[in-house]
Amino acid sequence: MRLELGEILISDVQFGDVCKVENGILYVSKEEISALVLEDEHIKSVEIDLAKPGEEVRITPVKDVIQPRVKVEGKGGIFPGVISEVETVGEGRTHVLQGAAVVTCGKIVGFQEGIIDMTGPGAEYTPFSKLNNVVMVIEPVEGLKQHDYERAARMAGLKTAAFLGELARDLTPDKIDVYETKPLFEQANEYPDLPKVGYVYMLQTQGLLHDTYVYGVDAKKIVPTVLYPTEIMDGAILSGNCVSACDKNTTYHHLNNPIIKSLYAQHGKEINFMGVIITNENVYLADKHRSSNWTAKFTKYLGLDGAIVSQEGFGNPDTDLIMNCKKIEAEGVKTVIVTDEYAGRDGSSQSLADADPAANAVVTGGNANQLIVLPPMKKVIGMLDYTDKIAGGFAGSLRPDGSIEAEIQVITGATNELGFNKLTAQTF
Amino acid sequence: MDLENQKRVKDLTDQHGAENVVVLFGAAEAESAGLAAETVTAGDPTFAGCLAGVALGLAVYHAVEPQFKEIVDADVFDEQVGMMEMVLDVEEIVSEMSSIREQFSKY
Amino acid sequence: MSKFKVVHYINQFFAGIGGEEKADIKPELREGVVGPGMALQGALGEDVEIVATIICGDSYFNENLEEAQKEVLAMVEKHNPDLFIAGPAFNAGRYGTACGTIAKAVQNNLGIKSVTAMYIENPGVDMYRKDLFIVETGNSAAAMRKAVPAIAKLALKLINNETIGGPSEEGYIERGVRVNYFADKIGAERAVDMLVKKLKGEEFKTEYPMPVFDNVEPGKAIVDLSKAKIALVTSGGIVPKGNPDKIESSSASKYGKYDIDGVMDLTEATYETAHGGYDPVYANEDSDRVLPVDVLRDLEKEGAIGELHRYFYTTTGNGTSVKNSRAFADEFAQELLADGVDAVILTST
Repeated sequence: MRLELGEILISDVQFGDVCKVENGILYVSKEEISALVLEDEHIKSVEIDLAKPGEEVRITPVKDVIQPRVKVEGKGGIFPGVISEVETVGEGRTHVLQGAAVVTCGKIVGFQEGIIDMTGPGAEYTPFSKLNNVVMVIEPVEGLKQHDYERAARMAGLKTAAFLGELARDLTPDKIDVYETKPLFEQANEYPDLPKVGYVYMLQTQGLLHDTYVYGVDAKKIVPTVLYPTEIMDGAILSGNCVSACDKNTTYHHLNNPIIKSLYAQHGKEINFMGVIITNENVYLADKHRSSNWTAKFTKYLGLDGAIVSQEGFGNPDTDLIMNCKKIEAEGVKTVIVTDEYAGRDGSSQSLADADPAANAVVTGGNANQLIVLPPMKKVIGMLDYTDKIAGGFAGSLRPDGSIEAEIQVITGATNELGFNKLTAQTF
Repeated sequence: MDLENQKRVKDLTDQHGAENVVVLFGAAEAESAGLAAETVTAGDPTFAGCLAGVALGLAVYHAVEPQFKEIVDADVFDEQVGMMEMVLDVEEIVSEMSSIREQFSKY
Repeated sequence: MSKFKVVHYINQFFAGIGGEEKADIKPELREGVVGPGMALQGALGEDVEIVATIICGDSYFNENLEEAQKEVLAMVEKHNPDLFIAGPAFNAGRYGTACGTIAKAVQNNLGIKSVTAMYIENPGVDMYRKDLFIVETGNSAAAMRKAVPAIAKLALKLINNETIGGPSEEGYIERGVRVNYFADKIGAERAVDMLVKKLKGEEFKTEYPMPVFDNVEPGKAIVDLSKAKIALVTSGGIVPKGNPDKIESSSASKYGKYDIDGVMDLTEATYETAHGGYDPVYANEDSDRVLPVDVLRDLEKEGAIGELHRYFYTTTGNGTSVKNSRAFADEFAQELLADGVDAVILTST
């Protein structure tokens, strides 16, 4: 598959009468977006707001962050099986509003949702402080069950991102990158002397606020399978989870998967990037065995020399990570695993719930339990009342002056396990 | 050098005067000889004994050094030290002792 | 401007009071420096003064933990120093444990910054590395010359409230504490770089070394002791009188295998201890105290155990490296198995 990814650089976002992109500025119409969102009868009301880099703005509780994209050429449309029809994507050309994002917010479904600060120390820990965000604070109808609320919020975010993405259809990109992965044997023969490397992409799949969707299918229900890397750039994988805000992969993270980008950057130079194996992180032991066995089998079947394995979440998925690593290494395929850590506030606890000497090449996104004090912000989009309850917060996290003392666990994307950030950890 | 011997050397030095005392060592290795020599010249480097912080600056030699070997009866030396002389790293010992003397001996 | 104050803790040996035989002395407070404190004072410079030294016997401290800590804490509190320094303890196990215990108590109970120093294999390290800055030293007092400046350097940083960097930089033993920082590249790039190196067989550095679980699986319980063949093994250094194989008093490079066929009791005339890390008087008077041959012979006669194996294995645990200990046991465990031994009573000190 060959995909041209065209970036339209967005330097600012403002309200306007109609939604449009002009001179690198994204204009957002409250009326148009509200109408779109309120098509869903589960949603009672929605507030649209804007948050720009450097503003003294705090967004919380954050559910998902999505990037506006549109398929311009090639089969199918963005977010196949969910927003667009279920056609195979990843080829042709896709346009991206680079520098913009849609953020869904609102009363929490569970305590996994996060905080984004657009300035201050907290801004250092989230990539979303550098984007021009269109924030939607969603209010569900009375008595709406959690699953339905989560779904409604998720769909609202995706719909809006697709809607805004449409604005880029006829624009000329400022920059175009080409990504290509050939069918297996062709790809192998293109660079016969380079090591064959695959990407094992672990997806969080543990229930409410812990799910991921592949072409619209709940990934709890899949067995490991293979994708072209470019399918993911068109939204084949979507987030339905918050896990803990710090290490959940937002839809934005999936669309911009940095491991895929970094592998492509070395493709044809140091490695032959063969493709992506997706697998899940189910709660049952039998599922863990099945998925890790299957994944390891795939790495051998595809003739890989090496694989990067990224995790999503922590706790029991640490066992999935180590199972995958051990079994892949046992097939003679060398691994690097990407994870984050829960080493306690003093950093002295064991970072992962499982360990194995085979996991001798680890990249970490940092210790999620590190404490931080977020200064009060002038404006809060959303609400603060859940601050003490969200994962990483504690009784007294929200102080009377509006500052928040909590673990970086509460910051959306802080310890991302796709290696999105520069944050890492060392032993002292 | 153990606490007992440190005390003995100190007492003898107090009694006879530092310029009249020479300490002769027979340690099997340069490092241990050096440490002991340092103890009676610069002071106990482990700070565990009575010579901690006390720099006697005494003259120090090891039995295999030429300064000693040449002034004693050759046959007696051969009988008593000859065997060890063959086994020890004389060069290293001489080097270590010389170094200590240069740095710390006052006599 | 008044100087920064330091209180120093040392044991009976470094205070010049005595060796093992004086290890039971109670805490004593003296003005100014004693022993190694002299060298420390020199290294700490003019703006810092060691105002007091607390001396305590290693045995007393470890056998009277609560009392000893209370007494020492009171002495420290009296001087209210800016910093508390304990040791250096090198490889002396009880000294290192005492240093770690008291330094942690001063830190946690009095809120006074503490630092200690010892050799990496000192048991005090594993016990306290997470709680304290432990400066790494050589394994004997001969390393004092290097230890003192290293301790002083870290001490000055602590006194002056400077940020303390990583272990190799600052000279302390890795605490096993994870600390976040921002790298130059994003994680994904670091991961690809690491994989490329790994595939090429080049050296790479993992960002999170996996913890090693040195688990020893417990042996199966003996079903019928009265039929079992029991062997005695000790790291207490019990050897035939005269120590014929010259097992070292510390950092043993060998172990001994001795025949006690027909021996019903160990006596002062026939056995002794080679171990240099504890007061040998009682073990020399009656080695059964460390290697209970007499009791096992009784049990044998009573029929409580099947048989006491004719050979016992011994070495000195004092300062002996884990590596050597493992190697010894790898060897003689095979002999024990071949000789049909069912269980081992392992004594140490």
